Amino acid sequence: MTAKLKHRARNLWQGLLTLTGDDAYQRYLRHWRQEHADSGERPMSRREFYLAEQQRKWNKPNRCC
Amino acid sequence: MPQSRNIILKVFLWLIIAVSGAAAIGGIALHRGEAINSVWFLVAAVCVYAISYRFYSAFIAARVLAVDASRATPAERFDNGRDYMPTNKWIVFGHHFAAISGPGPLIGPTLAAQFGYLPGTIWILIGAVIGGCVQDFVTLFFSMRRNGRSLGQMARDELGPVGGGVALVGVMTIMIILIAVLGLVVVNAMKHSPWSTFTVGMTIPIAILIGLYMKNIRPGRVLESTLIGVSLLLFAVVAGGWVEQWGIGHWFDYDAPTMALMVIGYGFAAAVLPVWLLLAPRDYLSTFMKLGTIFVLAIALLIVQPDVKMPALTQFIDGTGPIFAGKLFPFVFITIACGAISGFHSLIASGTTPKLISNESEARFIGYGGMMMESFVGIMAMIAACVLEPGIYFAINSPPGVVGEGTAAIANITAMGYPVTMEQMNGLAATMGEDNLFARTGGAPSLAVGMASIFAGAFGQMLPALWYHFAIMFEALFILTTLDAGTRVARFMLQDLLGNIWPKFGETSWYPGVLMSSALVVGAWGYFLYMGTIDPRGGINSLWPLFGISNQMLAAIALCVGTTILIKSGKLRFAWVTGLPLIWLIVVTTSAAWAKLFSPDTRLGFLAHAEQLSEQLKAGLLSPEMAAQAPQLIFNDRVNAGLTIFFLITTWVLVFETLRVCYRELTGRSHRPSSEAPYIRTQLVHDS
Repeated sequence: MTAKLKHRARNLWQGLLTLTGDDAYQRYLRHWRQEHADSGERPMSRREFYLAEQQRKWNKPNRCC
Repeated sequence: MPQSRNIILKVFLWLIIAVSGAAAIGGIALHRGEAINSVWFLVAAVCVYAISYRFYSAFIAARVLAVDASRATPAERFDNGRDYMPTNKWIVFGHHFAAISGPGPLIGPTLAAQFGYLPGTIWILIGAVIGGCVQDFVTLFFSMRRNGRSLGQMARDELGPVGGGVALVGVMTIMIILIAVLGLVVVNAMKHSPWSTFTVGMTIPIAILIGLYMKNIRPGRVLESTLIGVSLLLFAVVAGGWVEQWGIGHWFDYDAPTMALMVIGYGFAAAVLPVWLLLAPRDYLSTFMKLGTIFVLAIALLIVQPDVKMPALTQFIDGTGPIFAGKLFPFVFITIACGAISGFHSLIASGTTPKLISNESEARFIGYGGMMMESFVGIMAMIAACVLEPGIYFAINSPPGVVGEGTAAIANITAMGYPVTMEQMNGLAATMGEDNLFARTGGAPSLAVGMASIFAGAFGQMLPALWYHFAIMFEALFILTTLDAGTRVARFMLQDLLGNIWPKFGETSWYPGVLMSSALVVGAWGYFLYMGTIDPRGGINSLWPLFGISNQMLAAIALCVGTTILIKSGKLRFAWVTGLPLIWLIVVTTSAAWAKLFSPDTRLGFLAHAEQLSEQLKAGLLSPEMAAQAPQLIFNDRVNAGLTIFFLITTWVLVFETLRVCYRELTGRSHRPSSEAPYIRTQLVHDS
């Protein structure tokens, strides 16, 4: 019962982090390791990734009236 | 047999929902006399949404669009861990709702309450479930079937270069008008109000602080940064009340034109500064505030269950209303765009969202459901505006050019049949911590007073002034976010457009180009904003209808694209699903544009007003102050008229393009290949 509750709480917390975008960098790293790990390059640092993401997000209509 | 018992139970449940919904709508429609409880509105809304989601959206998903859960979505096929990424449907819903819901559904219903509560409420409910939700859902779905293509690209693919071009220019103009009118709303809330000005002003350094923190100290930690920012914002709301005691009130006390110039300067700075410094952190704060406040407002409404004091209908349905001119038809449908149907959503529904959906079957919940939620925000705004005494509501929202100032306004509004006294207005202003609340046209202050009374009722009768300034700060925060983001996007579009003529200008990294295009965009909306502040009739009267018309025009573009795709894919018999709202929008926008252009009523028609002013100017009938401003106002009337003609022409060009393309398709004269991405089976294991 407590295990189930713990599992639920962890899921909820994880969902919140995805919703806010806190775990965006982890997701990027996971994807990078899967797809580009043998490209010989290094993944972006957390800061580079954050700045690049902000540019990408705000170069198109992103907010409404 | 348990299964058949289940079915009977379900039928019974939906019957109960249908009957309660019908009873609630009947209740609010037929009620006359003193006051009606707001619970009726909530019940009506929830029942209408439940029934249309369960039946109409399911019909659209299954029969009209033929949603296919076995088909891989762009998120799966192009998964890059960033913008394309299969994401949990609740999270996509949250992102989508945060993106589509802005200040629009709060302001439109507040203004439309001038007609009484009934017309706006009915339009918000019916317009959403038949029009707005359908537009969002269909656009989202078609974009998802086309690798997440944007509305502009889809218009070009389906309707050809003319349609695509009209869509692009349409989007840019609506941005300009939208930003101007939202700017005007904030200016009217902040003029001669040191508390509001201080609090709203403080949002800028707070956002910058958070921006620096998120870039340099804790990159990308959104949650903790936002929590720090929100506590600073709440402190700024409280600290605004001390500004007068500290004796620095005059530092934050400006008249409307000066305030407009400051907003223009701010807009330019925000457009050229890097996004991480101001725009991105401000957006995190405003999203958090927005979702939080909407949630708390819903709870507070349930606890307080306030009485709605506005009558169902006012005499102003004949077009003589003080806040904005124009009869019930078509102006209630223009005044409430967001909340019922908002074309702007089609940009979001064909932008970020379709790239995140992990399974096609979720598009209904996100597209149709997201808009239902926004419509509900519109209903809450309508309630918040209508819990005020009608006399107070009109005194806050009527411009001095129409009802006069101070005691004259009191006498005029009372004479209209909505009694209000100077003591009431002074007492209210004192409770809210303001000098006066007259002529704060635009909806934000009256909504803030309404929200403050609801919040104070729910969470203890203390400190309505704090709640009032919290509400002002919350609205200003995301109006300014829309202003920053809109200016930036309009700048990209302009650079893109002018880059065709002068390629160097199109380079987004060439700083002189960035500065010039930003200045052009800010200059364009700044012009309308400034003119709005010197217009004695209150700029809302001319700007808000223009905004409504342009927003509905964009919705018409999206519905044209949707209808064309339906017909091209051989679903002519279902074309009414997008066709009916499309026809309605064309009727509404055309008649509103026509009235704004050619009405002989000088309060309504741009041209009639220009003529009247120039005659008065020639005859020397104007006060020296008015005579000095008259040439500008006349010029502005003509600019507005020109813009209205432009909207009319673009809408009709697009309608004829749509008819032409559909005619050729149906008569077999042309068969463009479908732009739909080919079927690939999904590999994702789906847990629903």
